[in-house]
Amino acid sequence: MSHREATAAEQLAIWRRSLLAHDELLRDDLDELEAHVRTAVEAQTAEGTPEAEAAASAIRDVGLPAEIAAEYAKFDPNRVWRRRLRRMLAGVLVGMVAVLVAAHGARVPLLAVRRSPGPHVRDNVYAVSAVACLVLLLGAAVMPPRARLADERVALARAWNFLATRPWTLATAMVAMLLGVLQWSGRLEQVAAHAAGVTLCRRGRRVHGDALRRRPRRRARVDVRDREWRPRAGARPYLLATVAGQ
Amino acid sequence: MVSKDLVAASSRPMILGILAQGENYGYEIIRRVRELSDGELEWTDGMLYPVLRRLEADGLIVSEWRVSDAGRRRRYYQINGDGAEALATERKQWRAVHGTLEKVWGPA
Repeated sequence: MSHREATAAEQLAIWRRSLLAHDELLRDDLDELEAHVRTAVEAQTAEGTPEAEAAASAIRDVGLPAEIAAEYAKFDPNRVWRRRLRRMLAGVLVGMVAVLVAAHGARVPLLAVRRSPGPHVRDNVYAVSAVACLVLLLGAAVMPPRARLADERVALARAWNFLATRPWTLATAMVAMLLGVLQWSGRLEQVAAHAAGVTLCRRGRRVHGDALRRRPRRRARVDVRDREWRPRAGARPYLLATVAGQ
Repeated sequence: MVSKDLVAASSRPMILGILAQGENYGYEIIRRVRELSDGELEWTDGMLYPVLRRLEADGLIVSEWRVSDAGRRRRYYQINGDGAEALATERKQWRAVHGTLEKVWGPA
């Protein structure tokens, strides 16, 4: 590793990343602070200070990221939570779409290969993801503070917390649970069938949501051998081909 | 050097007062304060911006992103009617404090 001094651009990039870690700071705030530091660097270099030195001093003058973030949080304490909530909701939406698309994609191969009820496999995937994410989150909640851990366990704690404090962990757990419930109630079958451009039929008769729900729980999971997939009028050709090919 | 608490307490009237002289941006506001106080009032640069945010949230100033003559994108702040009123109130209060202290301490 070289011991050369970081250039002004490198220092600014590192500094901006350290600010990004604080949810209290909005993009506008970051841009404004960065404009300030850049102006300060320009002013100092105009007086003859080397650029790297000017950057270091401008960054020092602007104050510690944690202190700046705390000041912003003082006048608007809810901004962190508003931001995290927004991010989490976005995560849930993206996760839902991704899992639905994946479930749709996995559906046909699963049926073709196994000729056995796909839903059970998916149920297990949802359950395992939900439980794994919740274990991560609970683990992070009960993890003792870093200071009380032996050195060799700090790395483990850090890795665990890193995984558990990402918004997508909670988002995945929520989506997996939601999908598990949908799957269990038989709704996902219909959503997936609709997306695939087919009508869900049983012994030649179209299966309605109500009909599925009114059935006893065990019968709600339709046995694939019992079922035909009929192309819906107006369905897209490539989906028809996929369905016809199974 | 003025204490941190006093710097924090005086930041609001100070910013409103500087903006009453015309629109300005963060870096220049800090430079003005440093210059006017002969370096006695030392602000941590990053602390000015949350105060500006608060003044804007309180409806005393308005801001606008613009590109400066030097080509740098900057956020310019301007005082509005409510801000001018708030500044008048602040001025009255600070004068009262200042006048009282003068009388207590006598001529320097």
